[in-house]
Amino acid sequence: MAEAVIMPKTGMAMEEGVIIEWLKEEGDTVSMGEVIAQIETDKSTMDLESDAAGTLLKRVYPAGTTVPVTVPIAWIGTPGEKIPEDTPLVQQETQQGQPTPVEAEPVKVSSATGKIPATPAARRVAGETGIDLASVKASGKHGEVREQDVRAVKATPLAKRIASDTGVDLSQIAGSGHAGKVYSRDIPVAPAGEDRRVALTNIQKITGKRMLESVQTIPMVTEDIPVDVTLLLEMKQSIRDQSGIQASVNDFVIKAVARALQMHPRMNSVFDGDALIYRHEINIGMAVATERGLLVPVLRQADMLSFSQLTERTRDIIQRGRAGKLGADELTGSTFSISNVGMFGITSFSPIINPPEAGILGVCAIEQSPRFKDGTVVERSIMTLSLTFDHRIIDGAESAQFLQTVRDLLENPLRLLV
Amino acid sequence: MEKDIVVIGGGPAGYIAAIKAGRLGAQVLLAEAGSVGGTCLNRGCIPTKYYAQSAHTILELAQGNDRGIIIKDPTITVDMELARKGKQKTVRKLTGGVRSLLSAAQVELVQQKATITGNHEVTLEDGTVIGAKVIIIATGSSSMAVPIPGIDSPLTVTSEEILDLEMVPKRLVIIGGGVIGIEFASIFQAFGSDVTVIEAQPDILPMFDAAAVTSLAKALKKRGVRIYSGSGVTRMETLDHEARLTLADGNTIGADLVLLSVGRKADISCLSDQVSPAIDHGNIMTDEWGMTSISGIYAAGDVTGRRLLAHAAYQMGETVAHNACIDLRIIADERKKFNLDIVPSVVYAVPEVASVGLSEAEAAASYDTVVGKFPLAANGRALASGEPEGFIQVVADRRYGQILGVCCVGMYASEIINEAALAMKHELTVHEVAETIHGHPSVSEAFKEAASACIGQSYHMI
Repeated sequence: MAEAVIMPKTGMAMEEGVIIEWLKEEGDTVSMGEVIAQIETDKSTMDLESDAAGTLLKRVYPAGTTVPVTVPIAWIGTPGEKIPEDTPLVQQETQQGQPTPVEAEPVKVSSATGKIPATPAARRVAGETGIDLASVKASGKHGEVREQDVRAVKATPLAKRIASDTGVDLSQIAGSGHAGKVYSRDIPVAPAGEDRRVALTNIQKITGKRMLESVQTIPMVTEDIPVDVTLLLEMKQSIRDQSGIQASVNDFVIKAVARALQMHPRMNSVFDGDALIYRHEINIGMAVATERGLLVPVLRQADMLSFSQLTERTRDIIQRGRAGKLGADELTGSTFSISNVGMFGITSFSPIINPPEAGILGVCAIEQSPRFKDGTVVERSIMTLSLTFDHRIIDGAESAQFLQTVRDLLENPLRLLV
Repeated sequence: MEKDIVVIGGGPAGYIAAIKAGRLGAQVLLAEAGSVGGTCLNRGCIPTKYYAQSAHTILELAQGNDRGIIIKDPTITVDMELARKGKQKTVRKLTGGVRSLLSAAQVELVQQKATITGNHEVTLEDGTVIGAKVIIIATGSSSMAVPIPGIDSPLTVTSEEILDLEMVPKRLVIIGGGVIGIEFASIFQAFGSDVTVIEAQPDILPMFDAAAVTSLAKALKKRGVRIYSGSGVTRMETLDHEARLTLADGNTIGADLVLLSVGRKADISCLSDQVSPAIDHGNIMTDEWGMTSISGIYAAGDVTGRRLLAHAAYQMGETVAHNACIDLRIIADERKKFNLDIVPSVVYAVPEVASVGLSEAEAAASYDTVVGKFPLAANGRALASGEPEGFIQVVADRRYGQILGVCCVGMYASEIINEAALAMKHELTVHEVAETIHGHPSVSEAFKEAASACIGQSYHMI
């Protein structure tokens, strides 16, 4: 059955959004995570990514229509597939341009083949609490599961945390507390030494699909370059001593990458079949490991930020990312990504591109290494950078030049701050 | 005469069991040889709290000058006769309340000692035989004696007898550094006695967190209380109106009065040769539902030896009454188990010490723990009240933030511990406590801060 793409609810206050522009035609093939439209909310403009892969069967509304949140605006499936007939729910070209939702039967989506209709907040809470959306009684106007419906499953905060961690579906457990409230003692404990099947969180599901899609569709090459960060480390310390700014090596890398992307714009482009799309903004995604899976919070317009702004924002979005408190717009729209595994002592790796970006930079551990200088051996701090790039866009020499630029900036860190 | 349920003992376990069963519709008789309310109301919790408050008031008055309160004649003495009268008034009010509650629940109260003479038969002191479908034993506990040569002296008192002293002893020696001993040490030091505590174990209050015990011991020592731990009393001699105690290490201590508070033992004097349920270490054994080894006979409270606390007894009393009414087909419900996993315990000394759940050391033995500790010296309410001593400590599991144990020392510790118990019982983690707005200024804020500190979010602490 065809899957609905709904008008997303990206904030508590958001009630409706405007379809600014369709980026895909009916009949186009759409991959998971591909941007199919631009949506304007009361706060910002955002890319609407498809949660499904297939053919864009129907655009329910033309560009310019205002649509209430959670209402299906497009259908994706296989050509010839039937689309539920009870759409559209919004009358077009109403007076004063006000949307008038039509009372209709809830959109029915088969849970076996399709996705349970739910608001993004409901999905997030379900992911956090280990509750299966299919088992939740939906109260949404159009049959979608709302955040409050997920929260209505009665369990203690501790039980919710344990369920989320172990993948237990709380709605299937008969609670021993008042009115069936689930306590931690009600959650079955897998005996030690037995295999456990733990449901993936939504983040893990999406990450898995995107990673697979990435390696299957992008011809990737990884190059390593050693970088002497001795000076950088000294400067980091003196910045800390003199201004109190607690910058990390990662902050310098982001700064250097943002600068290098300005100089090598192809590294900041997207391969689009027979053309390259040069992205006008430099938005850097930072891979962050969280308890629920891998997140990539986005530092927008990184090239426009002063070093102290960059340090502050980076720390803020990483912390909020770990706490699961980032808004949808802070997790989308990156044009280039960085993945740092240096803290684990890794000296080289081949990161996988976050599609549709052209590259991803892996940051490795800093090691004390001997180097020759004027015929004598000196101790230097050496960090390896591992760059994976899309070979359809970039060739080996070009990527090497990009890496050299990043290296030169990091080895002469004063240039980063002026 | 035949009753559905005969409850023996009118303390916290017994009177709650009787009220609960009476309210559910059972025909209940409660036999209590003394006054209803048991040790708690008559000889324990309530009378000692009356004196503990007096001690607190005396110590507060001593601070008066610092606060600009001028007290012209600074001599403070305690008239034990008036103190006793005040205490008795409070006790009478409370026991009167219990009698009204029993009466409203249609419970028949007889003021007689009762003996169990058959599996379904109780005989009163006056010879009356009462048939009982179910018997609930709630006879509590009494002060334990120890075989120290010479301890049987007119100068030795129990924790019950010390409540009715006619005057404040000059030199009081307390044998036993448990909760009762330490509470009386704090009370009589404030009343003007020269107090010495002797504890045979290496530390006083062994069931509390080491940090809390250290903090309390320090405060007591500062007030002049001497604490000898790790050395028991081997001999006591009585000469006229003076006692001389010899310790295991050879030291001798003089005393005008000796309080023996080395623990309590179950009172099983209601049993007879005809009826003898299984006994373990002097306590009546029960299963999780409160049933003894004899079907139809339940036991609840101190007599079971589970937790010797009035509030634990309330829970046990209610549980056995519920289960007995199911046996009698008065109600149809699921049987309940004794649930004593989260039981706060408090030392009403100055400063107060309270704890619930596992100690830091116990928790660390089974969990990957994280500890959040907030000093009352950084709490506005405690500082403004002139009581900056103490802290609140939360021990949580690192993975889920489950609160495993909470320990409070200082102002209002006895009240704040109940907030911790509520959170633990219903599985709020440190995350939820940290998110809860606490009124400001209040000492309870320190609980929120300690919970927040477990997740690195205490903003009032470096």
